[in-house]
Amino acid sequence: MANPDYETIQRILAGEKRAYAELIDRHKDRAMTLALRMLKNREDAEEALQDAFVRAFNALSRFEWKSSFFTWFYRIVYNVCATVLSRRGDESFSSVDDDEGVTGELPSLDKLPDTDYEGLEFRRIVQREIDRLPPVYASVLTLFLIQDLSYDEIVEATGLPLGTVKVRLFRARGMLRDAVIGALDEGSQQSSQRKVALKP
Amino acid sequence: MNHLSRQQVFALIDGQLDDAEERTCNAHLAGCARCRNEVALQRSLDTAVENLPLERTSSWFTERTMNRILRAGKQSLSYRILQHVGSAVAMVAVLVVLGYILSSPSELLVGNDDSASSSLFSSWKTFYNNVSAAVSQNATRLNNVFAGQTATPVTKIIATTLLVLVVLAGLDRYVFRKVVRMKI
Ligand SMILES: [Zn+2]
Repeated sequence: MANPDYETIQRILAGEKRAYAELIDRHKDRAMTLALRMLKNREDAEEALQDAFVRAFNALSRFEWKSSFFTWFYRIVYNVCATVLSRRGDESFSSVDDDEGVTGELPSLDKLPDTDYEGLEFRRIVQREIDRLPPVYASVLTLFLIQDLSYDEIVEATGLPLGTVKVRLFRARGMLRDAVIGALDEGSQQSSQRKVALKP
Repeated sequence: MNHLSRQQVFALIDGQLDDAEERTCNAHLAGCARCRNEVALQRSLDTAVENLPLERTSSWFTERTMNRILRAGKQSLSYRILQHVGSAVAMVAVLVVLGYILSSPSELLVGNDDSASSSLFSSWKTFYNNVSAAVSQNATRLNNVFAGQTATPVTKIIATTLLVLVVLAGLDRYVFRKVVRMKI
């Protein structure tokens, strides 16, 4: 099998425990991105990630390759972070109303905000707004767009039903879109005010 | 047709529409700038999110995690005993050298005759003699308790070794490790 994770895990299970470091190096940054999007705090995210790697190591012999290693591992990260959130008393994560209607009308977008959509400023706004997304939405959006997981893999990684994954993903993208448009509008208003103020 | 709904925009981008739906949407897009803008914006947003740099863990993350994993696997009794053997050997060595010096100061300290240091050494020597006498006495007692009538020089050596090990373990646990932790 051409899967590097498969080869590494075989070596670990054969007794070469130190090979686990390769697995950590291969997945830590993507997993850290997920943990940080959920916990919003670098120290907590790193600690949760370490816990997740230790748990995955201890459960490695029970991993059955029904999914890829990283989908299985993201589920551990996701669960550890969910536990941290509930320990913090953050109920927004466990008590989300996923049945609420999602057929919101799109606010009119007759003209695209005048922005360089590949520019640094746009990326900076996107980064800021994704950091502000509630963990429940930031997590699915991160799995979908950054980890490039399919709907089914997100179901696997979160343990959520497919319908819930779709609803949350839909809301996450909608919220991000509205927040970014809001920030761009604010920015363009400020700059046009500045231009007005500069006129003699 | 009305403008595209949010769901339709996402489904179109993700390739989740069936052929008929996709044709209808594309026909609308051809004549509606507002919806074209929306699709373009959403595509840009997705691309921007996909291209955000990954978050990095601190540089020693892998090493620290591996230490935690490997340490957890080695909590067996033999490993813990081994961990202490090093400091026990070091302490025995110090005691032997100290004992040797103090029991023969006249040979080793020739020419170093000032009274302050010789009185210091003699008080150390007294202390050392007292300690070894106490060890020997307690070892004899231990020997008698366990070996009774069959006490021989061999069982006395075993008793002395046991006693010394207990004292060293105590020193290691309550003194040596605390000193090490203080990072002098
Ligand atoms: Zn339209």
